[in-house]
Amino acid sequence: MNISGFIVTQHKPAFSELRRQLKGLGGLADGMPRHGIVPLGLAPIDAVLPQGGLARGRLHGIAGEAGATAGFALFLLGRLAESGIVLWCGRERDRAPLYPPALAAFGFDPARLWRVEARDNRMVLEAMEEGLRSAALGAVVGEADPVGRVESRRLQLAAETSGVTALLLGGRILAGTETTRWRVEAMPSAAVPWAGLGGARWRVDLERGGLAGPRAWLMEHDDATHGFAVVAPLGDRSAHPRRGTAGDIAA
Amino acid sequence: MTERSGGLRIAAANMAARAKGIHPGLSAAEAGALAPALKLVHADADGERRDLLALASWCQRYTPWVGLDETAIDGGAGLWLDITGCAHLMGGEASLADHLHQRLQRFGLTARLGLADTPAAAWAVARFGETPIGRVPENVGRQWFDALPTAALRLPAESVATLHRLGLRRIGDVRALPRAPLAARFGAVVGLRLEQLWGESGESIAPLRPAASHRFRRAFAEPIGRSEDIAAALTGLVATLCRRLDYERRGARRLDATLFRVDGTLVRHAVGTARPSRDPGHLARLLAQDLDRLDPGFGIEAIVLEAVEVEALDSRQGVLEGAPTKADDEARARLADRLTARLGSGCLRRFAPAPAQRPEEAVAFAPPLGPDAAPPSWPETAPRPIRLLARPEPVSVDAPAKADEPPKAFRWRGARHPVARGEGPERIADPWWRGARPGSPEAYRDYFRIEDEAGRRFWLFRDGQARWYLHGLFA
Repeated sequence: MNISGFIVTQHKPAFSELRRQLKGLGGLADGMPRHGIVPLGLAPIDAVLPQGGLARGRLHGIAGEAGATAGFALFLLGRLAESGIVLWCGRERDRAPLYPPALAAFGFDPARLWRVEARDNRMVLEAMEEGLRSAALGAVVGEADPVGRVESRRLQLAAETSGVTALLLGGRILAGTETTRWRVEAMPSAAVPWAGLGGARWRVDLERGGLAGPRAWLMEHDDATHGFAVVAPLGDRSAHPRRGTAGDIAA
Repeated sequence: MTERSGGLRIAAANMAARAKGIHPGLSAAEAGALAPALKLVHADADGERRDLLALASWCQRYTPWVGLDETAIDGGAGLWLDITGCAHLMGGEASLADHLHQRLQRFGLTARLGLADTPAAAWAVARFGETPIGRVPENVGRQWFDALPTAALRLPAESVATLHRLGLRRIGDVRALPRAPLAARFGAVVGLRLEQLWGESGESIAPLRPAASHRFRRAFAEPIGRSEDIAAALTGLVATLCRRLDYERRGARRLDATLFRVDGTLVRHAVGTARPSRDPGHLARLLAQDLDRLDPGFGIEAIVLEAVEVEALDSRQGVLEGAPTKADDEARARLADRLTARLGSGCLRRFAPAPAQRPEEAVAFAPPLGPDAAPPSWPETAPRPIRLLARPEPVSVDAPAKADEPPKAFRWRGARHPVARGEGPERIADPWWRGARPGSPEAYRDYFRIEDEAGRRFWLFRDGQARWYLHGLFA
């Protein structure tokens, strides 16, 4: 390989540079992203993402419950696709479909949403692939469960070709070919001095595609400012039992 | 046979029956006496017409101008084919007629063809010519028709009978007579038919469907069956169509591809576009999308592609003006077409606010590429759930809560959710025109935003009868 030639002919500082680059590539098994990296704007998370952000034109998976995954997907869309149409593919007769009036609270304009209602799981994936082939979109979101290795590989390839980012939401992703995989769970929110609810909190785990370091955080979404913040890094899942303490019931 | 005055009559007879002297109009009893082995079947006028229409649409492989012959006087149905300008595609008029005759025979049809310069002459030689394919040479004189019987004039049966009684059995006999007394006796129709025969009076054939100028056809020397081949042929036709559309500055909204199977049946394949388009690549991709689901049968021998709906489409100048959004728009329109072709219409849509109180009715659906009016504004409301259940699901609550208070715990889909916090109520009332009296139990719902002990957030409501429902999930 020409790596050896590279090492021989370069001066010593090049080693550290190369090491830094290699370190940055960790988790990006498929090589350097061709369509750029977008920082999430949350320093603790960006610190463990290769190149300091999320790769555009790649497939990212989000596992967890229906509400939390949709919320986290909208958070990612706010960073990855500031403009352009977002194709949101789901099954028809979904028992809990996306509700457009809620999107504004995540800083997302419902007019930018194209909703696909496909017959079944397979058609959701076909629609996603079709959308990913067109560079005219801002991003493609799909709710499919389960997704096999071949399908997720096809999505990954289509995303890389067009540069459109794909998010896959679902309980079980059998694939293992996504660039990153997240798991999002609701967490008890902090008590607020008024009678009501404060910002929603999630436990966010980066299960795949991260560098060494803490890879679980407590995130908070502020309804009023549409903002997201990392409240605290979380340790190992076993160290932090999922159940929170029961708070006061506000009247 | 068919029911007419005086009992059952023969409506049509096949060759064998005609050889026994059975002809249309004969009573069923007489026919039975002539040929004891005769098989009588009730005439099915609707079915015959349906079959004739099917045959007519099959004949469109030869020419777009196919009409039904509604003047079927002697029971034999007919079709008009205007092959002006089409015959060379089949190697000339004679070979077209041969081809058509052979194919009809293979379908098990006894067909007689007439080929002439005027419809009337073609009608006459088809029915009264000596050979199955009658042919009137070009520019023949009037006397050429003299030997044909008067029935060949396409006159009502009574007129023919009267002519026969007068001893006028051949067209030549009629031709020799002065026109005025004929007109006085039979009306203008005899003179008109004579003139139509010679081409002195014009005759128009009403085509089955208006002949489209956006219709292109391709026949294959050998039937094709592989979907790649069909796609390639369609691509070629699309390219021809797009050149035509380009010239006319129009774009196709709906394409209809008709595939002619070897066995005489048709397969129709239709696609639509969200915006008029004459981009060959895009239209070809649309057509190719579902192709492998089409059954080519024993092979496809011809394909007709037609732009059924076209709209004005100016040539694109956006590139020069440097407007990338326009290119984006176009790419999006193409994507919308591909998705619609794949998933079916109505599966791709945009959302718009709807002026309704009930949360499930507050969203309207719009086509993905509707007119770009001012972006609709969504009303400011209390927080709404990110997912709304398709219909509110009843939940059981542990203990009845006080009014204006969320329950202490509820059970939904088999799991118990102890409530940690709550917010509300937000009263959403039906407007007065929904019928329910204001203040009556059906007229309102009290919504609560609730967080369970695990942090999951739900949208619950209590209706006027203190029943609890779960209606949405928050992020």
